[in-house]
Amino acid sequence: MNFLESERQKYVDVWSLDAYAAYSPGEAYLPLFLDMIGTERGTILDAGCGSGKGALALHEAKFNVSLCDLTDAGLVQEARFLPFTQACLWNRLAPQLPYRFGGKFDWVYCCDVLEHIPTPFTMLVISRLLEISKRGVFLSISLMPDQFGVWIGKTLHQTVQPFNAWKQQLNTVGRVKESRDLLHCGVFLVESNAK
Amino acid sequence: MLNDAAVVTMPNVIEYADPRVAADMANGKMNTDDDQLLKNIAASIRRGHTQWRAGPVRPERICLVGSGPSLADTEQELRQAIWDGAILVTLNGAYHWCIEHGLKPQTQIVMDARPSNARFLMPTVPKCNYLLASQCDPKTWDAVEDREHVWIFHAVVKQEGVASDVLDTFYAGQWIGIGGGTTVVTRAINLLRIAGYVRYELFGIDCCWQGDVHHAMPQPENVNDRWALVSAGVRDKPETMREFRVSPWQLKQAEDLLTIMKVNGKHFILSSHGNGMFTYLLQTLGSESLDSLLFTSGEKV
Repeated sequence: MNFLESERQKYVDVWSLDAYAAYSPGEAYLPLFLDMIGTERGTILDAGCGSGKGALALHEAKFNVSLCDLTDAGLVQEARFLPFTQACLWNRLAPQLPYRFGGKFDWVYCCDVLEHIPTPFTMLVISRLLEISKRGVFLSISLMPDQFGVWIGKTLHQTVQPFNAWKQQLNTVGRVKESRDLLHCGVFLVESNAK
Repeated sequence: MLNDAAVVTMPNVIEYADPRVAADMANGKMNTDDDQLLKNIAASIRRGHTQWRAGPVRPERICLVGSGPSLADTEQELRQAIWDGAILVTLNGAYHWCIEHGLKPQTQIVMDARPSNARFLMPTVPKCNYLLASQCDPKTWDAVEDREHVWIFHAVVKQEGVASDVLDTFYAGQWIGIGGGTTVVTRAINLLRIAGYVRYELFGIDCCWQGDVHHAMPQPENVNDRWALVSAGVRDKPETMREFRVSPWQLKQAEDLLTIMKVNGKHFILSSHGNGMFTYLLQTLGSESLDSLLFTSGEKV
C-alpha cells in the first residue's frame, strides 16, 4: 500500500466512527465565511468535504457547490446529489476535477483539512487550492491535537501549530486577506498573489 | 466630588464613611465613551491578531510594574527579583521607566482606549510580548503592526452589552472576556492568571500620590487630576489609620484590587512593594481578613 492509499484507508476507517461524523466544521464556520465575503456568491469547491454537511450548508446559502476528498466514505446521503470527485489535495487539482467551470471556482472552501496534511505538504496544498480559485480560499484549521486518531491507531492531525505560524506561512504562498483566531482553531481568507 | 476626609475601612472590601465618596466610586466615568470603545473593538479585531488564551499553571514569578511614584524607591528590589528569574511585565508608562533603568520588559500590557497611549509601545523591545485590549485606539494598534509577538485580549464581560455581541459574531463565540476593575492593573492580574501565572509581586502600584508626584515619570493625562486626603486602615483599629493623598481613580483601583483578591484570592499569591496605600493596606490587614491570600510586603513570596 503506498502513502496515498494508506492515507485514504485511514479516513475510510475514521469515518466509520459515529462520533467523528457528528460535528461538521464546514457547517459551523459558514457564518464566518459569509461575513468575510459579504453578499457575493458563485461557484465553490468544498475541498476535503468529509461528511458533506458543510457543502449542504453552502448549497442552502445559494452557492453552486462541487465536492472533493480522498474518499467519499464519510459523505452523508443527503449530500450525494452534489458533484463529488475523489482527489488528493497536494496533487494538481485542475486535471483531477471535471472541467466544469473552466477549471476554476470562484471560491474554495476548506474546513479542518490542513491540519490533516503532512507538514511538508501543507503549503503545497494551499498553492493547489489557490491555483483553482478566482476570488479566494477560505480555511478553518484546527490548532489542537486530534481526539479521534487514537480509536484507529493513527494520528489524524499531522500538522499542529499556532495560529500565527499558519498565518505567516499562508502569507508566503498567498495573501491573507482576513484571519480570525478562534482559540481552538484559526480561520483565514487567502487570496492569490497573482491577482 | 471626592471628600477631603473620606475614611477607608475594612473588611467589606472598602466601606466609605462618606456616602458622596461611595457614590463617586460606584458611578465613575470611563475616560472613553462607549461608542468609541465599540468602534475601536470592531476595528482592532479585524487586524487578525492572536487572542490571549488560557494556559496551564506556571511556577514563574511575575513582577507586575505600574507607574506609581514608589517605583523609584523599589528599583533595587525589582532589579533583584528580575535577576532571580522573575518575569518583568510592565503596564503603560512603566515600560519606558524600565527601559530607561536598564530593565528589559518581557511583556507590556496596554488597555486604555485613548490614542495617546500609543506612545507606551515605543520603542520596540525585541522578543517583548505586547498584550493590547481590543478597545485600544487604532493608533495604538498601528504602533505594534509589524511586531512579532502581539496578542489581543478583550476587557469585556461575556453576555453583557453590544461589545460582547460583536465579539460573539466575529469569533463565533470563541473568545475569553477579561473582567475585573477599572484600570489595567487588575485586568492584568486576571489576564496573566488565565495564562497560568499565580505568583505576583507588584511594583509601582501605589493607588496614591507621593507628595506632589502622581506617577514615577511625567504623565500629562494626569496633570489635572483631582485629589483628596484619605485615611485608610482597619475598622475599630484607629492606630492603623494612615493618611494618603489619592485621586478618585486611585481609590477605585485600590477597591478593585481588594475586590479581586477577595473574590479570586485563592487562585493567586500576591505581594506588593513600596510605601503606597495599597502596600500599606496589605501590611495592615495581614492575613486576618482574607485568609486565602498571602499578604506580605517587600518580601519575595
